[in-house]
Amino acid sequence: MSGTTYCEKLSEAKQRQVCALAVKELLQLGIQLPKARLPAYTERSTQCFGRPLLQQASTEIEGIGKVPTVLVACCSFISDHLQVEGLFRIEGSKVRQRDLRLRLDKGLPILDATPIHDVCSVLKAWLRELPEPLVPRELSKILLQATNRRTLEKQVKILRLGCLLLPSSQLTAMRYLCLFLKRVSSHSQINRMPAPNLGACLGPSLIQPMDATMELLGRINGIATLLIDFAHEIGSYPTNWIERLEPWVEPWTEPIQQQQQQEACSNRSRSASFGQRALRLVGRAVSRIASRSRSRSPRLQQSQQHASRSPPPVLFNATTCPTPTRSTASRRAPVIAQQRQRDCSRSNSSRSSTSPAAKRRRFLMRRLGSVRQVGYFEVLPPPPLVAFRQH
Amino acid sequence: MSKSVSKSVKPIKIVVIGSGGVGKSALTLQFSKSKFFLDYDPTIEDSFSKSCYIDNEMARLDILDTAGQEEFTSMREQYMRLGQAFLVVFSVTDRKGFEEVDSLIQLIYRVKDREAFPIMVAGNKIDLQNDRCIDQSLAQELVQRHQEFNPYCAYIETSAKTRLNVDLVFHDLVRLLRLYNAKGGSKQAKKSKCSLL
Repeated sequence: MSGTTYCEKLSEAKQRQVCALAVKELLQLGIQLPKARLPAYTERSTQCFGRPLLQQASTEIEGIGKVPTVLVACCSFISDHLQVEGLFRIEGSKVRQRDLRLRLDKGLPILDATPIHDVCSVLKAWLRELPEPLVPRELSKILLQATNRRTLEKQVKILRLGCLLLPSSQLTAMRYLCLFLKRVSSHSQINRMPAPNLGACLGPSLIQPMDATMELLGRINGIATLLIDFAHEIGSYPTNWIERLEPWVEPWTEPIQQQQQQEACSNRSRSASFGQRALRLVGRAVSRIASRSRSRSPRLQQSQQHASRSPPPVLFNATTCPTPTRSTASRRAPVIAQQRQRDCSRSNSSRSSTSPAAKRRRFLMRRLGSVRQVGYFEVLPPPPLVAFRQH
Repeated sequence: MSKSVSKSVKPIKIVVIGSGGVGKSALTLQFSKSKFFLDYDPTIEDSFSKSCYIDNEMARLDILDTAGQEEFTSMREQYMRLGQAFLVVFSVTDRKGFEEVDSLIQLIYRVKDREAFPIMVAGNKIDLQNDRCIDQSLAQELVQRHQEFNPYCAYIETSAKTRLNVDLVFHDLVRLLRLYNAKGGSKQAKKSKCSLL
């Protein structure tokens, strides 16, 4: 097996392709993909605790991406005290934790004199209070299936592929935390917290099981251990996939860039047949019209692109794809290459899907603009709280 | 002979609770297996059983060793409902664990819906005299406050490492339970005692 590369530097379009490839491979492995669904929103008076990840202030971390500031603050504080015994196991004082939470909520730094176990407890509380656990339920369903696999290699493979389906906010936070926990476990000679111990202490916070039976908890702690042990696999794709990603999909994300590219392309391919050139001309004309009304219907433009060039094998396009249920995913995944045309028409027809979830999604999309994240379990932009209160 | 006796005796369900890393498992393992384990694995849940004679009476103990971490609080009430007697452990070297003792005892009363219940408070790790930060008087004071309305509450200092008072703490808990059962274990345990006197 060749090495893996972290997907941070990929463009959005390529991330989508990586996601599609991951779906395909997971289905080949016989993993059942749960339905994607809308995350629950809760109104909170706090800035960080109990808020969805996207609503929280974040810090850019070199080599990983955007990570919630609370997480960064706690982890960087704890990393100065990696030698303390029983990190994350021993609990801190409740009274002092309350003060620390208030500080973090206001965005203030952690005081140097704060006892380390308080910080660990607050970090665990932050994880527990996330409306969607840091390891989302969909992913934990996939990972639970992974624990049934016999070889570690297979388990890690499923872990790696499953993580690629996540929206980037979740992915970066997960990668950051797990890499940090791996650092903690590397000092286990002194702090006596190797990965299985950390998994047992943090598993329920990370994964938030629905019901607390002994058996399930044991498996969940196993998953947490796996995530910590193979933290560098979170969000990484096999390096040899880069050959399978189609380079010309990229300019699509930027209309202007794409036009330049088209011009360059047409210059280069003067020998292209008349029919092709005509198609391209028509395509460009329509895309110009479309770009005027793009704010209302981005799909029109996109479908035009499909006509002007051979469409890309984008399965879970952030703007066109409906909720990718398991059935559509399994129908689509194995036929990426051949069914480009049909894929295009399907993405058009998906507009008329009238399931309640799709309806609500469209309603939210209209209200909230179109910033969306890439991922199979995609995340809508958080609703502005003020707007919600008005209605 | 003893085997048949142990089978006929109804087991006593003892639940060991306390904050994380205070030595609940060490205490339980020292009692049931007579060994001090050096490994540092956080428990999710473990159960042991042991039969022994206490005051010339056979007792079969089912000891449930629980997780101390906050994450597992959802399981807490579940096993508290099953428990017949509780061993609340804290570490004399850990102030936070001690602070939690009171709230744990209150939780027992709430879950059991009783004002009195057999509870043993154990101050563990007394072999670490140098790191000690909870005085014996401090713990005594806490227990005495509870004893005002719960006569079935007592405090013992233990060391799982040196096996100091390990047997005593479990045996005393069984004695407390027997006393409690003899009095009928009613809600008005304190009242009936007064009227008798």
